[in-house]
Amino acid sequence: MSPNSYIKLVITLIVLTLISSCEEIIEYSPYENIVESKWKKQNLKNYNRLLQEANQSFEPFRIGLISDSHTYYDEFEKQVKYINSRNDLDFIVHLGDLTLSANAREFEWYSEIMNRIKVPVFTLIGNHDCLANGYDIYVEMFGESNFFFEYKDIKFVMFDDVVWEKQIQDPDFDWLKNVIVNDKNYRYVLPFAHIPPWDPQFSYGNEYLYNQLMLDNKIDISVHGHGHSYGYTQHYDDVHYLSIPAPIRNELVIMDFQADTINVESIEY
Amino acid sequence: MISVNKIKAILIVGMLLVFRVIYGQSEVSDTTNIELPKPLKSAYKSRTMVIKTDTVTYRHRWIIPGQYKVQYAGSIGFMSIGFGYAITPTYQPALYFGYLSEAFGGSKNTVVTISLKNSFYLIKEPLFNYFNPYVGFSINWGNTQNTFKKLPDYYPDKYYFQNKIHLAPFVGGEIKFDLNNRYFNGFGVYTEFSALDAYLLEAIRTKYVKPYMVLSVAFGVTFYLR
Repeated sequence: MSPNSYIKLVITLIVLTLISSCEEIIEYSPYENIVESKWKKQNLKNYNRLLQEANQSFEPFRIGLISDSHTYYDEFEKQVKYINSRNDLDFIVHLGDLTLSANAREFEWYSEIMNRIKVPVFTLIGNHDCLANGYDIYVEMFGESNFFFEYKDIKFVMFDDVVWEKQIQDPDFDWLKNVIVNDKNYRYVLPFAHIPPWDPQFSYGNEYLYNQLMLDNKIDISVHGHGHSYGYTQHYDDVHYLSIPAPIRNELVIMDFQADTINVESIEY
Repeated sequence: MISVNKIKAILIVGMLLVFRVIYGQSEVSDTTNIELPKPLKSAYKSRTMVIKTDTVTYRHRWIIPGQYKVQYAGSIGFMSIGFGYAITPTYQPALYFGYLSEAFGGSKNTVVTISLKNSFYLIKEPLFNYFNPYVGFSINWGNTQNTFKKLPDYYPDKYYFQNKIHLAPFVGGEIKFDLNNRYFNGFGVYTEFSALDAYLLEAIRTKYVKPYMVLSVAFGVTFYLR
């Protein structure tokens, strides 16, 4: 073979290299924590989209609640389609477990589908999202895992109560205790957390403490994921515990905020 | 942080240099007249050992890896280095050590991966004299925070599947050239596409994840010891 053939081969190879160098196909590790700038701090970005309405005084509104999309991508897509077919929701809260093993591409696939939702979405962290480098990827992609915001005179408190996967003893109850207080005469204070207090991840002490914090602060409803099915129960006493189903159930939970009450409804689609 | 563009530039410059070496030497085809360097000479030297009435002849050569590799990407690190053996002309495994960190690849978390790449070469004679296609599977052992083979005790049984070891089937191809060097007589440039087991599973069980979405590309070079 002549030297010319060498040249052809090398040039072909260089061209092939350049063609296949598109970012999506390059992965340094399934555990990598490299977040594209368009997908950084999405909870904050999405709240900023709501700023104008958020500062208005109370008027009735509705939100949609979803959870545990894991790798139910097809079912999640269907749910997103249904959400977009409605025009009555101000925003959506995803109650955590966006991934199965917290691998890098799972976070990307979630973000890709979630961003098709026309209204802003707030994403909580779930236990599966804390495997490997998941917690750090979550913080890059969505922001701090404990956060709260105000919307039309209601305080939404998003609490990270993952314990086992973060290899810690207790969730950050000091933070929750400070934040769950109705300090500005809000119409409602509404806590959200991925894991419900009766789950084995909660010690008996933590289970009692969580419910007691709700009672002390006169919280009526506490919202959770993790169980993959719908539930609206008074597990212990006065406090209502709302469980959000996974997309495989083909249900969307709607929370309807009225001046004197919060209505909860699960709609099959 | 080293960007993908810089890597591309490095790859191109590297290939041009390699091409220059190959082209510059293409007139000389006989490598046998180059003397072997001392360490290799001693490795190839046959030694004898007498055990009772048996005389055993052996060489150190078999233990010295015949292939030295440098790879970019491929889900086992930003860059990885490896060494391999041609156990048979068909089966040529290689062991890689890959590294990824914030300064070296741009990941906020550092990952160290050890990967056993089992390559099976499909044809005896290279296509067009130079091209060797191969298939195989890698066993990737990932070390970063919160990866485990066995779950800590506080979890219920089988709460999670282990996330430390991943299998990744791959297909690849290498273009191999002869080289006139005291140590190396061959040089190869390879590209391969792999699919991590966890991603592959999603491609199989969901419509959303398309097969191309699970692919991971790797580029690398191999030096073949004389």
